[in-house]
Amino acid sequence: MRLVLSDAKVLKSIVDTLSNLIDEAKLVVSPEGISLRAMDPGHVALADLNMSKVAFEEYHVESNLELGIDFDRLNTILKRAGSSDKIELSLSEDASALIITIRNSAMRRFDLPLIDVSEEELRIPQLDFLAEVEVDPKILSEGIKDAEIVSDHVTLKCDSENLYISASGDLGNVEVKVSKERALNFEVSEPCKSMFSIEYLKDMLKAVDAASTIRLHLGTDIPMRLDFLAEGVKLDFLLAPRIEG
Amino acid sequence: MGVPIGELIPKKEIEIENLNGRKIAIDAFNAVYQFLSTIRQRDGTPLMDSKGRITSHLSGLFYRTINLMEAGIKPAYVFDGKPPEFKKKELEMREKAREEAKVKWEEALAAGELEEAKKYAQRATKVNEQLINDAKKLLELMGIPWVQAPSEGEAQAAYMVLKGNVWASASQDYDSLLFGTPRLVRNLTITGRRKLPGKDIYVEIKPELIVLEEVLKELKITREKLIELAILVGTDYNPGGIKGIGPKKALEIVKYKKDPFALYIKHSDVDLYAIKEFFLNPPVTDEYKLEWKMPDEEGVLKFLCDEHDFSEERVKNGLQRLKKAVRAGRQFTLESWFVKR
Repeated sequence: MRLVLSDAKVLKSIVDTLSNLIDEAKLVVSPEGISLRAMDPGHVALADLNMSKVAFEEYHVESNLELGIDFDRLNTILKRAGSSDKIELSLSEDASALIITIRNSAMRRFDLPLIDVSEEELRIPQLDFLAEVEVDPKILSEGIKDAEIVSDHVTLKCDSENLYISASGDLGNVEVKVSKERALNFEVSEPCKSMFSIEYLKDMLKAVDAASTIRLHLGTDIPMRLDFLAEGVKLDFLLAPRIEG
Repeated sequence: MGVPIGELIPKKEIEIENLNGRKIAIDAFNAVYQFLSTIRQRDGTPLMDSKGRITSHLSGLFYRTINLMEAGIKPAYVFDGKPPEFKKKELEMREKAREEAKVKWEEALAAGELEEAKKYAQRATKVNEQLINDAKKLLELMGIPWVQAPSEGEAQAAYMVLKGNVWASASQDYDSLLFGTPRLVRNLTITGRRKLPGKDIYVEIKPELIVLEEVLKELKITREKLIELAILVGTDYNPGGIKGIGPKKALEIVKYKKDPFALYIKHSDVDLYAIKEFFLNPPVTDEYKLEWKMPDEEGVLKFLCDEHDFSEERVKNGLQRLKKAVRAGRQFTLESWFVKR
């Protein structure tokens, strides 16, 4: 196995995001691309990553591999790479470690020992989303930061005209309105709203650096799906709601 | 109290945060008893209002419940109903022990030995009907659900977990496992630290999670065998169990004897088979509704401050925290939406 990324930016951002939510996960490497599905320890959020081989400068994989990764440690290593550094991923000869090579002025090699990850079959739940809104990732991340001023949870609401990001608490109320004209895509079949933990959303939104656009799927009192899209990369999150009462 | 099989039970320490979003059925008698025995002044006197009525349990229930709600836990308290006939002996023994402790408490007080006094005062803790009614009234006003069990509260709590209405039951006693609770949380209603007995050292107390399936796997027995084991060691229904049999020996016996009671039934003055049947099929009810509502602020203030002399400032502060926790809702886990197999 030998995978080369022309720059580290996207991978750094994805791993940084994932390491906030999950401790360890199994990375599946196939001739078509790499993928991963994992939940946070509290089973509130699920991450689903697909990186097609087109996202790589070079991609050589002969057979399917499953690599148990400690995400904290991988993140620590990738933090050592600059955004424009070239990155190469390969496997040690005895297949016990992932070798990460960072190339800039020097060639720096890190061996990350692979770990056993307990097998957990994760099925994506069936969800009836009522709204699908695609926006510039910054709009959402700024809205969540606004809401955080007064609360640790936020309500996302859609009607036929707008997406609303709102929060209320003892310190007052915040409402951010995004009209459908400002959205890249706006499809709402029925008005809907759900409440979510800001802490989780903030962890997920760290991935905005890697994404050119973000797609939000929303219903009423059901999990939301957040898709981060970039060239050859799809990172989806499911986040369980908070429900009153 | 409870069956002394702790040494056999594998448990893992957890953080209170790990219980975020979980509904938990709490053994109310056990919690009230904990509050009454631990929330005391230095000489062992419980907290009292100006009319001399005990309020330790109300203080514990009010503040601890708010802490749990703030941690995202939805507690439902389950109260004992009528104890089974064969619990009489245990209840009589407890009453006698309390009477003795009360005498020693008074003696220690007279001698000015505060630490001794507190020790005996705690042993003299008695939960009477008035205290239970106070607790129910407070929960009602706080908007926290409570359930009246037909018989043992732990049996009802276990039933609620098995039905999937709550995630776990909470009690200090292992009896809940005998009643079949899939998950038991210990140390949930104890505050952050506990004094080591007889020493001036405090240890941090964290909740413990016990998963019945893991217990049975570890001991390599079925739940029925676990019940037999407990009965040999001694439960609330046959205090002391069979003479000379401790947990380890009992485990050996139930593993190799198909009917371990056959050997001992002659020497026992209680019907061991009836006790086992009670653990397997205790009386339970479906008549309960679990709803966490906004507190009746005026009602709580009237009850705690006007009637029982609590500090208005502290109670108001607690109510603010409680309201915030109710408003924040409950963090669900994705499992609620996974396709059921």
